[in-house]
Amino acid sequence: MSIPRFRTSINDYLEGLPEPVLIRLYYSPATCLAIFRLLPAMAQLFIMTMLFNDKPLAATDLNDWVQDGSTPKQYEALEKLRGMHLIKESQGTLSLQKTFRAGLRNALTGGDHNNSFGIPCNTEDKHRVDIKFLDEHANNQWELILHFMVGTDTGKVPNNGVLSLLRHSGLMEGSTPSNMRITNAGFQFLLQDVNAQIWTLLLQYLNMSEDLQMDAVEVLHFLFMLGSLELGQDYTLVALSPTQKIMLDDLRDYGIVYQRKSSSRRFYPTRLATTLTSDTGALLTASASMDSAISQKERETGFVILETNFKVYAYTDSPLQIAVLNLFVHLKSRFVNMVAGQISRESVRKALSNGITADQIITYLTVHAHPQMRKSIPLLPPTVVDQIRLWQLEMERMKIVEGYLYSDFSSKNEYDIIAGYAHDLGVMAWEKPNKRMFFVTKEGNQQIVDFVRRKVHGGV
Amino acid sequence: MNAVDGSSHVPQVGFASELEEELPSLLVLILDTSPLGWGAQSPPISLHDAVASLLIFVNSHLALNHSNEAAVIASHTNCIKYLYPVAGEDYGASAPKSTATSGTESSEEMITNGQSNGDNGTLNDASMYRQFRVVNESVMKQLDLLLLGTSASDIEHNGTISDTTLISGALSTALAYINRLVGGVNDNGPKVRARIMVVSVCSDLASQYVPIMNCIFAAQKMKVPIDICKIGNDTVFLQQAADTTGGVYMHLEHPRGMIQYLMTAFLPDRALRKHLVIPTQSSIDFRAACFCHNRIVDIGYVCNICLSIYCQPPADGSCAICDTIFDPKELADLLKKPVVVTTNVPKNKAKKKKKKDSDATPNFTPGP
Repeated sequence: MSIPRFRTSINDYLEGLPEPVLIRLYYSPATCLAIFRLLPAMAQLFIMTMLFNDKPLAATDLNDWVQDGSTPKQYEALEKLRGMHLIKESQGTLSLQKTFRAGLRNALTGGDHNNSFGIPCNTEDKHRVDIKFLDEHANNQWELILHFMVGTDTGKVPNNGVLSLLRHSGLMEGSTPSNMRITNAGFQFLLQDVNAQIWTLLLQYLNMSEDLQMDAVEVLHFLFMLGSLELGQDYTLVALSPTQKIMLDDLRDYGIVYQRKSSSRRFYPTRLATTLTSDTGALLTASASMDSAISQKERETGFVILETNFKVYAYTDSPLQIAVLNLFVHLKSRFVNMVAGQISRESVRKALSNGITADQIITYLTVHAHPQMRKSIPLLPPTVVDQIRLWQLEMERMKIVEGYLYSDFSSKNEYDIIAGYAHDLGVMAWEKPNKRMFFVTKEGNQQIVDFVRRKVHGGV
Repeated sequence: MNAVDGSSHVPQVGFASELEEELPSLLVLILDTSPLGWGAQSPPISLHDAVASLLIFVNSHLALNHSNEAAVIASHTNCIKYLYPVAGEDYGASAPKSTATSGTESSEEMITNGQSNGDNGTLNDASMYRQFRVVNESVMKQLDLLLLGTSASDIEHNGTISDTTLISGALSTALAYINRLVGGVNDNGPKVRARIMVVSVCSDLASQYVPIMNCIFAAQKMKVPIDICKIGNDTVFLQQAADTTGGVYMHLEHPRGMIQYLMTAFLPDRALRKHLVIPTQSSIDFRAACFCHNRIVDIGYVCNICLSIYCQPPADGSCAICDTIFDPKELADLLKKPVVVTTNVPKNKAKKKKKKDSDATPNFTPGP
């Protein structure tokens, strides 16, 4: 479930960018392609329809094309496209943003000359490294950071760049390496899978880079390019801008790229980089499992057994895993190769009050389940899963929705028309027909206002 | 509290609809490469232009989702050929995503021949996303090989020149490929959504009636839709294929605008089609081909044992499929020319559509 979360976060970041910055982003075909992949399926289809069509598309055509019951999806897709400034609207017609259109066309037809997909090195590397080495390197670098966060004594401390990023992102607090402590946000971070963790850090890196006067566009170009590179291939530094070379140093510390030494003229992306823009674990066929090999490795060596009586047995001696389990399990005994404990109301409430959600706990238990557990369907005992969710519901008696209240309708008919429209768009949050009042979400308000102007006031 | 029950919150089950949206899809493109078929199309569209459009279409499909996969199969006059992925080729090795071989092996292989790839000017080109480039170059190269290896004798069938193509072979290969990729997934894991798309230019497929129908039913059972992109004359069996499997059937009115048809009608995958108004044909040609001469028949004779279809009563008095011996008397009746009868009750037994009511005289009666 980490993928939707990552998507929304990177999407939110992109949507928050001002239009001129976004348009500069669209100059790179690799970025266009990566951004295209982040969009909902319906939005992708709309883009594809307009991509090779020189005439603008009439907005009413879309209404005819989409099934009546799916209007909320259409609305959501268009909203997304507007948010990213990907479409231009004029007089009831839609057309694609010109730069994006050119960029995506180039990506699909190979007509690009910006080298946005990275230039492989054309000379032989005397110190060529293989994929196994790259995987190990990436794993070691990444685990070093995680171990540091939980305070394992490994004798090594990550570089200053990593430390300041951890501090800046609020995952840890404290001024010197010796007194840095993990925060609640940090614990939540540990529960995510690797891909989501990397994106969390990279988004923080983006925020930080703005403070350091680095150009966000170049940073994003580089990140999206990394996602399109190939594992095991070496790439030359020639085409990189000065900003991107600085980034390379930082990314090396995270294990996202490998460079033998900082003066080297080439770099290798590791698996952490090449899976940046992919859905790891979405496809578990033999061929694609390579992509998610890192998260896969954990899956194969799953170690947690959860019983219906809420007892947990974890076959691990890794301080990192034990520290993570300790977040929501009341650990009782420890042996050489395993720990045993119990999930209780108190232990889960403690985790919940630290901001960890029930879903995160359940996902963690699912991902790390022992092979023995995998034989049973459903994987986790439903009693435990339900109970964890119930404990969360105990804490969430209220749900807050930002939005606007509509009231004082002059007639029942008027109320019905507008409330019906809000239903169609899927933005209705609450309604009370006998008092002629309803409440729509913040995002949907503008649509309703337009509709009221058009239908009610325009008609009279 | 009703919201919390075991069934809807176990991840594999509860998020099924969400996962359904996120599932990667596999597109198997079958390209009809019959030289005569394409020759008949020009000037509206040449094979070259069509392939250019199709490659962009395949790229777009791969662009939709990182894990999407594609395969391209050429259906030639007398053989079929994988255009992508190609076993044992460099392209295949450097694209571990789309071959069914173990990813580790092929990636390592890539490392060893990485340098030779580096020497290859086109593969080294940074202007295109690697996955796209691998597919495009493989398709172009294999297509060249295929067409160069085609001689005049390949077009001949039983001494006559015809524009036929091995669609049935291509369909069964595609289904086998899909079965291999999708079937390899364990029960817990998510599946790949697969679909087949046929680009067809040939109109005469009557000789492959039985194998094509078998493929259609297999596809229906596997829940694989078959989309048909038809250039030139409509083809009977392909209409049925799209109709039976719930695929899109589209006859290109203006083949030069092929790319727009592809992008709009054929790109959405199964999950998205639920939300769209899909182009289908309003009237479907349900005619069948006879088993004896492969003619498409409007009205035929049906063996009452095995339901084989004949355009005329078999000469040797027995069913060619199940060897049932028909009653010679009945056969003789069927072979009778319609007699002009002066009475008001016409006795015309020879023309009976497909299956008759049980109380009526059967077309054939099995022998003792």
